[in-house]
Amino acid sequence: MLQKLIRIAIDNTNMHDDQQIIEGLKSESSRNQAFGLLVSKYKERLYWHIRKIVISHDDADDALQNTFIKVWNSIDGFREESEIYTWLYRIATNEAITLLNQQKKRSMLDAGDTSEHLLQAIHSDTYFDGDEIQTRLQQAIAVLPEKQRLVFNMKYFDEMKYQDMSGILDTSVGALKASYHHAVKKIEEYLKSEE
Amino acid sequence: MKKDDNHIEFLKELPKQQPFKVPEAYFETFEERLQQRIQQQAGKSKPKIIQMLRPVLWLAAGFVLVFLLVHYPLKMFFPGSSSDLGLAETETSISNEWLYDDNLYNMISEDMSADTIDNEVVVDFLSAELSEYEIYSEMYN
Repeated sequence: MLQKLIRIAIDNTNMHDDQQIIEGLKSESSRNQAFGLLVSKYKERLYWHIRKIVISHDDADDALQNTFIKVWNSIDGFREESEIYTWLYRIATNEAITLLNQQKKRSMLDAGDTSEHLLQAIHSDTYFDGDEIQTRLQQAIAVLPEKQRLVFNMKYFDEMKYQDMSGILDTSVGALKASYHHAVKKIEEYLKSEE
Repeated sequence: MKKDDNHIEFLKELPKQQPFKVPEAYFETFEERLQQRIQQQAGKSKPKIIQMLRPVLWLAAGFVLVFLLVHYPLKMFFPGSSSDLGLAETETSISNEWLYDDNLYNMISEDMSADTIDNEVVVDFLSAELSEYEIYSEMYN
């Protein structure tokens, strides 16, 4: 109960901060400062979200910078209908997927070969230091279809609510639950087949 | 339902800790690098006039080069022929244009002196010899 109350209090504080950031972004005189606060507040969360999608650190760094550049260039287009958190995650997810697709085109891989690229990244990335079970789990995630991969990462590692995920991925809660269920099943099968 | 529970049980055995790390001081220096990239992009988005004209300048230089490569060998092997011919053609076309205008002027003058301007003759002449654009520009000049 206490934990729940603390979480609600933290959420409220975050929302209050976000509102201040949005107000700051609207005015040209305070825009730079508000953008600085936004970057400072969300850079790590967005980095880990992107990193789980693209695996490689260099790619994650690229996609994170692209995300904030896109945010900076489209501040005027932000509609307050959605929370800034949802807006940022949506841009970050799109940037990460765009980057993967660009690399796929560059390396002349077929449409379904993102998994191959990700498996290579798990082996070649200098900043990957998982033990055996972590590596196998990442391999199992890498071979999932794109949507299931995204949903599994967001639910399992980030413990994100389906409702928030729905706003980011523009998918119904029911479809997200189904995707997660399929993902878990496939991961289990993959890991058992590897044993 | 029991199968779903089995899946959840299976998940508990999996590590939640992420196997990724970042270079030292990566997050601390992120803002600085982002600022540099935003400034670079801002610089790129406003290209200088010389940069915008660069392809056109290269194209023009290409044309000049081709002209020189064709003109000088021709002049060397056929002295006086190519350039004279070009000038003669230009002069002919200019004199033809003057001839058309003179014809029209003479015809109108003759008709004026006779005090009988036949509209059909003028319209026929204009439609045969001048384009719509030329007629329009003559009317408003």
